[in-house]
Amino acid sequence: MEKEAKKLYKSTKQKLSKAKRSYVCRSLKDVVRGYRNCKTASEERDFVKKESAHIRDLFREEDTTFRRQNVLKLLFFHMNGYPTEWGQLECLKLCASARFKDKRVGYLGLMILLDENQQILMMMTNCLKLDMNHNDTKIAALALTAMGNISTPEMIRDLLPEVLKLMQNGTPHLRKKAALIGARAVRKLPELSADLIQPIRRLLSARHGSVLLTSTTLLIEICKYSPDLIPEMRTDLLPLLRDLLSDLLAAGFDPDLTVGGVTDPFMQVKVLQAIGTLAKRDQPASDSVEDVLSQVLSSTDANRNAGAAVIAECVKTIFKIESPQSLQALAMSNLGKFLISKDPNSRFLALSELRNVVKLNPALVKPYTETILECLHERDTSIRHRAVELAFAVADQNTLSRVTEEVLEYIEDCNPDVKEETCTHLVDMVDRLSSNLQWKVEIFIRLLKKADDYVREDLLDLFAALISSTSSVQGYAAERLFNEVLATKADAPIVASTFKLDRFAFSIFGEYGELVTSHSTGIRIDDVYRAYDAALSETMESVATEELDRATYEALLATRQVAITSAAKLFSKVVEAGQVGEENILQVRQLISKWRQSLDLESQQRACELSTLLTVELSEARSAIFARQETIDADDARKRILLPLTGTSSSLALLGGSSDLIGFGDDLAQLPAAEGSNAPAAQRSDPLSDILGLSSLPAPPKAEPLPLPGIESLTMPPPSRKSGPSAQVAGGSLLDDLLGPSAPRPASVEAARRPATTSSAASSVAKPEGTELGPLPVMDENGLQVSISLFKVGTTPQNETRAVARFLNTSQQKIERFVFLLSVPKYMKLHLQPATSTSLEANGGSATQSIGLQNAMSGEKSIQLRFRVEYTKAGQPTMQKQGVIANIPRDL
Amino acid sequence: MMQYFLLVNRQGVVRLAKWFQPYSQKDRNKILREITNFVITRQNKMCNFVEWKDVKLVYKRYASLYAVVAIDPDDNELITLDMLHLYVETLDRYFGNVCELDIIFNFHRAYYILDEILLGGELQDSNKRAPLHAAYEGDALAEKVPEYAPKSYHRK
Repeated sequence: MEKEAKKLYKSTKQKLSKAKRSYVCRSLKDVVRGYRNCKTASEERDFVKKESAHIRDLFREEDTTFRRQNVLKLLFFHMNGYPTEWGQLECLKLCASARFKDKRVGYLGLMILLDENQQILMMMTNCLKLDMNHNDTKIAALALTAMGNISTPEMIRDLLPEVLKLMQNGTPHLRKKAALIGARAVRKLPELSADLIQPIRRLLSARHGSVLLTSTTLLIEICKYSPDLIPEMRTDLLPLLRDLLSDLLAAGFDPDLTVGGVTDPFMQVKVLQAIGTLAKRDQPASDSVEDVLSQVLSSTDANRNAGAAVIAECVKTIFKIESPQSLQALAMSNLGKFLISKDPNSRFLALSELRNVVKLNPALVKPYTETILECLHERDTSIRHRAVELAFAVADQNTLSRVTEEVLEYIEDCNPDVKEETCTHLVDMVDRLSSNLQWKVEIFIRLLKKADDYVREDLLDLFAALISSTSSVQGYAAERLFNEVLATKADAPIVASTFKLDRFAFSIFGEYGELVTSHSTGIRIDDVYRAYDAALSETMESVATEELDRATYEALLATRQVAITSAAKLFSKVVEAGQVGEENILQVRQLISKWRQSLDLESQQRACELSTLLTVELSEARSAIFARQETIDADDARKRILLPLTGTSSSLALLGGSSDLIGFGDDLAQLPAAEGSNAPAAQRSDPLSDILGLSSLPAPPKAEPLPLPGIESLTMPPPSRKSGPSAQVAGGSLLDDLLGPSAPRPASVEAARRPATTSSAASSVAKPEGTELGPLPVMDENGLQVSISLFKVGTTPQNETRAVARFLNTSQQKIERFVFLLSVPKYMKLHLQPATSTSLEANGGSATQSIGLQNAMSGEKSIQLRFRVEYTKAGQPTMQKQGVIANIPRDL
Repeated sequence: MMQYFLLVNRQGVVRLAKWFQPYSQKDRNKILREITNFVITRQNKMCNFVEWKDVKLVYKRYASLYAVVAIDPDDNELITLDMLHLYVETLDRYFGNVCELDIIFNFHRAYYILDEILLGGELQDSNKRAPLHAAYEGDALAEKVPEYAPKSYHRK
């Protein structure tokens, strides 16, 4: 009776589930097919929406019959980019089920769907713990697989005992998985390494194929993340690995393991890696593996991919450890074969490997220079990129000009993504290896002509500094730039593709032009005038805004501003030197004066200031103001250029290719970058703006603003510069006030700062586009005044705002240990630069601090700032003040 | 170590994606979008490696599918290429002449096999036998064993 009832129950259940399946729930296959039958994207979306709703209903009903099926459907939708976070809990329910088939889908779902959702991870940890202790090894294996793919540090800490247990007592299938979890654990929590050494010994001595592979992986990770444990493992594990490798070399054909004629290349590569890490920087250990390494090189067939992989790894190992020259030579000959191979993979590999070798011993790579340069002509961007990196590293005095020519050719048609980097490397190399400054300038001009847009501003600064420091090249540079650039301006005034070159040419020529106009054979001053006349022609103003994008427009303005200053500077010096008569000054003044009506505020301001300076009354002050600027320290500019380069060339520059440093190259290479990044940002000067001679004149510590007739005096604290005070005191402070780049502007001028497109609405209430606000008073007490100005800079993205805070001490006592801090709400980001000074002298001592702000909700929420000020006055306790900076409009 | 493993077809549709690092969904989509453009546009005779951001991409084209894997800069590219091939060969053995459609309709099985070959971005096994055995055993307990599987697995 009971039996019959059971049978009836069973058959009814089966019928029911069958009915459900056909009427209620579609199978995975049907869903995939249905999705694929959709013709348009919107059809697909509707389909997924409908199915998801159905699945959600079943989930809500706590249905168990179709849960597996439904989770798999969700995974399919997930793979096609639909949101499926709501399915995570269902996966967990499947994992908690007692059946293998549920768990299998459940863990798969978690591995695919899971992000760092903490709550789910915690519940998952419990599930994993139970399953790892399960008697059924298949279930334990599922748990290990899941943990190998998702493991947060907390999970590792909680489950390590279980993993260790399986690593030692499990079946080989479980042990190999547990070893890889160990590798992942070490990567995330290196302090666990010590616990894993003993298990590794046991795993390696077990000599089971897959277990050996994964425990070698674990060994490599331990060496990588806990190098202090290497000596302990070296003594017994290195001989073991060495024997393992020679066994593999001697083994015959095995259908399961032989790939491309090589027995278990995967294992060989891993063992070679492990040997490399264990024998690194240890002479006896290196000697002990020498034979087996040369055996690998001689007995492996490099024609197939697997063999090439083993040889590549072996070469890597040889250069990692303390190997003798004969072995290194053998390795190099193998790389040489790769380099001329027909297979692009081998060539790529050879270039990557040579990049490592060149760090250790450039002499080994130098014979291959020609072959490397040939690779620059390939069509494959991966190979070309590698080759150019290597070319930079391998170049020396003898090959410099050849490499430079090739790289200049390469830059013309290389991938735009790497152009900027390549330009920087090229300049770095040329600067490093050549002492011929004329040649350097020549190359730089050619580079600017080829890739103007991609040359970093720092490089312009570097060359400005180099030229300023060597008087013999100043005339040459000015002449070359005039002939190459300025002389052509009559035909093509200022074009977008050569902004940087133009700017560079104008600034250098303005500074040193009089050296080449003075000789009878030099440049005729009429030509010079014509060039400036063309560059500053008024017609450009109308072209400017309509067709150009904002960045280009800004660059155009910047170039023109430089041209205006350059013209004034050059002609005042030429006249002073008596090369031409005083009437020329007036001519140039006329040229500049046109720009007093410019719609660009900066141009307008400069034109006003300079045309005032060019009047007869101020001719005395002029000579001091326009005097040749001091030498700029090129090393400062170099440091900034080297800063982001961690590649081969900069590290080489430091290593100087000395061979006694072999093996320590990697560590040393970090040094220049670290040094550079410690340099306080406040100390960085800007040599290119300096070269215009206007803002660079050092100001005395106590700068009293001198009002200049006709121009509103603006209070701008003197920027902190490295150079000391000089004799030109009066002129210096005068001009500092004039051209403080971020000085607050009077409201009357603000109205004129509208781009031409909006000029018709000049009198309406429309807000100016180049928004600027301030200075806003932040606080004023005890003689300490703090104000802040905010402004948008044209080239920065919409959501970025810059700010400058100014601090002024009007009291009788010196303010010391001054700190100004800001805080912003979560939707904003803040970059606070150090202040120019932490102490403010009594009676007018001042300092500034620049601030970068990013507003992720620009347009929706306004910038909100809280500030905090701390300072001490002589003999008094530390003062503090904090508060809110209010009234910042939304569009900033 | 591998950062991720992808199977993408020539139209850029993802057929399988395995992430060995906790990337957010947003990052995943971004990577997929950028990589597919990048890899698919490369020409036949170019090498199988691309440096992209801070990883090396190793890819290989199998008929309509691209297998792409991202590895650390100091990993061995060539052996990674062989690992890709090991996986594809195992799939081929499992499905019996695998094609894109097999993977579309049985993506979960493709994942099960991948999970037996790679774990946490490292190679688990250097032969096809053990992963296949594990996959068949799992199938025998959970669903239908593929018909071309060895007879010993058809227990049910």
